[in-house]
Amino acid sequence: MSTQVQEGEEGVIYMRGRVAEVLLGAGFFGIMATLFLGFHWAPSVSINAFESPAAQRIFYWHVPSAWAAFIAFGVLFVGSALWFFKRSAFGWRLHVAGTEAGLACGLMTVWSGCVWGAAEWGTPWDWTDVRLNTFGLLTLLALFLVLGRQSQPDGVETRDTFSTFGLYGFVLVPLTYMATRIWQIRHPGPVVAAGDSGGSLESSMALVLMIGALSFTLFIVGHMLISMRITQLEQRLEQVQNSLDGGI
Amino acid sequence: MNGRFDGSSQSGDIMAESLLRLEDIEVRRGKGVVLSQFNLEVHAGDVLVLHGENGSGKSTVIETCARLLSLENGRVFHHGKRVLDSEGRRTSPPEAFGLTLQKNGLVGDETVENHLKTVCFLSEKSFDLTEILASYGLDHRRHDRIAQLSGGQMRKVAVLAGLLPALLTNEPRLILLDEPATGLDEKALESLVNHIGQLSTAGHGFIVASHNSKILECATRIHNLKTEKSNVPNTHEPWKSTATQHSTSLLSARVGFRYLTSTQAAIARNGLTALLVLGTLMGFVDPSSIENRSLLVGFVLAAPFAAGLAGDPVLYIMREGRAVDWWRAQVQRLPSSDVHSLTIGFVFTAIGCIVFLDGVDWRITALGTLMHWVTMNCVRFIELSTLRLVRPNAVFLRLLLPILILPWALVTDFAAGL
Amino acid sequence: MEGSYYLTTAYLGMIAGLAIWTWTVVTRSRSIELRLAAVESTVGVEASDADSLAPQSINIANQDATD
Repeated sequence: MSTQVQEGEEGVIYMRGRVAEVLLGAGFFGIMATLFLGFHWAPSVSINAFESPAAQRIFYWHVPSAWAAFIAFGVLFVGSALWFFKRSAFGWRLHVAGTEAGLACGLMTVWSGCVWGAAEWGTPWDWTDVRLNTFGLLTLLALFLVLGRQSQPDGVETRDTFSTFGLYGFVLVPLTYMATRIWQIRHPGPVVAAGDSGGSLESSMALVLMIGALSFTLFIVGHMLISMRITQLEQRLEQVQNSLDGGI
Repeated sequence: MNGRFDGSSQSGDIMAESLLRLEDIEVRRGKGVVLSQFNLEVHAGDVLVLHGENGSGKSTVIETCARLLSLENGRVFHHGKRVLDSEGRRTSPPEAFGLTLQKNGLVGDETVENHLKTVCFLSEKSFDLTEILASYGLDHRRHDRIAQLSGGQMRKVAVLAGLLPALLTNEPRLILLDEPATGLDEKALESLVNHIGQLSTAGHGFIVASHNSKILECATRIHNLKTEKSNVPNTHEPWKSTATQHSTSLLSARVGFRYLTSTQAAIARNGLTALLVLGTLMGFVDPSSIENRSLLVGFVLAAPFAAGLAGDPVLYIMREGRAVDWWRAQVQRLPSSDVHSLTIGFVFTAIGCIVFLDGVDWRITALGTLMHWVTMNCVRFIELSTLRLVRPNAVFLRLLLPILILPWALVTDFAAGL
Repeated sequence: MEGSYYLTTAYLGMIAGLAIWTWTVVTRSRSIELRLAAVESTVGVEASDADSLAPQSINIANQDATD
């Protein structure tokens, strides 16, 4: 990974660009393969287990996108901490990449969850379901950070404030992860990493979900690398423009 | 900007008390480092005038001394006590200090007298303001609201508020004035120069950012943020304070109460929000047709919850003219609307109980009151967290408020079981 | 039949989300590269000063990544 380190060197920026696009392409291929396998290879669930058994196949993207969102929120947290405590420009780029990826994956998860909820529970949203709500809040936090950042000039005040929110918001991640283990109100319990209680998935279903998780991971890593490169290029553009203006 | 100045104009065997010390300060604003490795010390009797180009960092020095900016590095001491450092520690100064910001930091709905009295109370003093108001040509305006004054008159009030902590005591106090001469007429400027001279002779210390030649004549030290030179000011009789001791408890809550009583902002924002929610629910819901108690309790608690989401009206009032920054420099807890928020929460929950539950249930009323107060303070906390932004009004704060829905949904479930 | 309707709605929404996100990011990336190349060719700026806000963090990032 030493090719990614020497920030500021033109060749390295474009090298990262190629890596990013390869990851993006591989992830996209895997995501489509997941969709195909989920529909044509994975077995149907028992009719008696679900109100709407056909809608259950939503999970082949719902669960991996939620997994990818958690990774993005983790990156957001690490980036926020690196900026806030170390004043690292690399950290700020991680923060920006994490918010954008978190927002995209969060919206996909919330959307697919709402549609499944409408099919299975008869309601798209339940205000008393802890995981649903905490995940929705994480997505709203990412939306707040993306829109907020666009509304402010870049500077230490903007970075400090939004990094602080990134740090506060991360409290929701373990809460969301543990929610169905602690308060299983409506949301299904864990099916993959279920611990001692054991997962309820058939092995072929689990395999498709694993392929999905891996593909989504590659996909958002590619996206985040591109996003980091965009932030870096935006900063450089502003610097060059300032030099044209006769400023700093 | 780099500057290393450890001395003061004081010389001889007896060193005057250190009122302010900046150690190795680094401050960033926007994309630039405004102060770097900056050191400064002000002793009793010093009048340090910051005299540099626009954008050189004069206001940044004043705001750093007033604990308003975050430090990348360094420490700020008032009267030898550390009040701010780069690790995030921010503690109360041991003594009140005077502050006039470049923007006045005044609340338009306050009267001149009330604002200045509040400044006196922050120093735990009481003082007859008549003479001092007359010297600035403000005696006939003392009962007027600040919003009714001209720009120059507002500036006079802000300058007076900055000088008052020193005018109230014979003990040395620190006074920070950012461009105090801007907008003042000749008479007021003469009074200001006179007061600076009298107060510094009495042992108070000043940092003044100014380009005005008359202010420069009062300086004992002139500092351009790179170099410093000494100056011999005109002599003045020392100021003798006639203020008396007057301690005031719960000042922040009392000031918040006064702001809201004079503006009715709590009723206009939170009260009307609750009324609209309650009215809408009453229009669409027939309680007699609903068996589900959780739903009915939810309707009762909806009004205080929505009123809380409208935010703290005191903070809203203080956003004008950087009043919130002036208060942040002076106190650890900003004026609040605790009394009004508890009253509004109580009244609207009780009305909701009568409408939806056929009578007041005191436990649900207490929960609704608490819900309104907690919700309002959460919104206040989020709003305060964004005040450092260049454009705090442009962020989408309401996106974060759904975080309050889940806890209150659980409280509503609990309340329905009572 | 109704389950298939929900399934289609969910996947169409997610596919649209993925497409919009990817399209936005790739377009922004190309646009900024072109703008930067145009401005840099005008002024002949060296590409070495990538971040004016916190140059010291480059060292931190270097250390982080080489560890």
